[in-house]
Amino acid sequence: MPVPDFSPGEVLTAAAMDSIGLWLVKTQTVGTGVSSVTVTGAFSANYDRYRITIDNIAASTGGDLRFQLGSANTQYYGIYNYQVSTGTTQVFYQNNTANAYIGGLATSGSQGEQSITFDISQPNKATRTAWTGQAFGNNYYFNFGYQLADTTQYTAFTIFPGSGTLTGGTIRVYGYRN
Amino acid sequence: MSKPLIQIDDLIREMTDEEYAQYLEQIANAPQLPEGLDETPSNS
Repeated sequence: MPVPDFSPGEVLTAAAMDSIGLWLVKTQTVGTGVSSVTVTGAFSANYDRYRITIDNIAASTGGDLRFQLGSANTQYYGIYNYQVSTGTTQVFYQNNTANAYIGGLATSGSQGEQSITFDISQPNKATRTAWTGQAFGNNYYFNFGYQLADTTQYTAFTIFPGSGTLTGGTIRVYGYRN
Repeated sequence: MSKPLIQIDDLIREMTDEEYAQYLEQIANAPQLPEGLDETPSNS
């Protein structure tokens, strides 16, 4: 089915539902004053590629948000850069770090300005995992691309701030139909 | 002194001693923050 051809009142078949290209796997609301959020059951053999969105998290202090697959705390390789409206541009090359940067955090006074979107490839396969994405937060625009250079099959991930705590906001995980 | 809170799905609890030790180690060994990222720039 190249495009959905649903009509009002139609009974949806399994085949029709299975052809949906992007499926919401999990939604996780962030609590109050937490130093990290782990999302379990995010990745499985059902999908090779996932989209992760993170919106409206408020931080106790402005700063960066970090990402870790499972309990892996080494072998993150990537490039992370940001631009500021004042014209500043910075590029960071990260080799064999303990986690990955995935964007900036707004403080509680500007909670609505924080948004992160990235795609992650093959986190549940016995191969290296890579991801690329963009983010906006704290008046900074970010681009990033990373790989985790191990072959562990991951089902969970954790986000946490460089310092302080997180409050509110929503994490969503979508699977792309293979 | 209470330990930091962690969230696993909908469960929020204090870190265990082991988790707290890992947390402190992680902070100590974290890559350096991008310069200026903790500041909110002006829009001018």
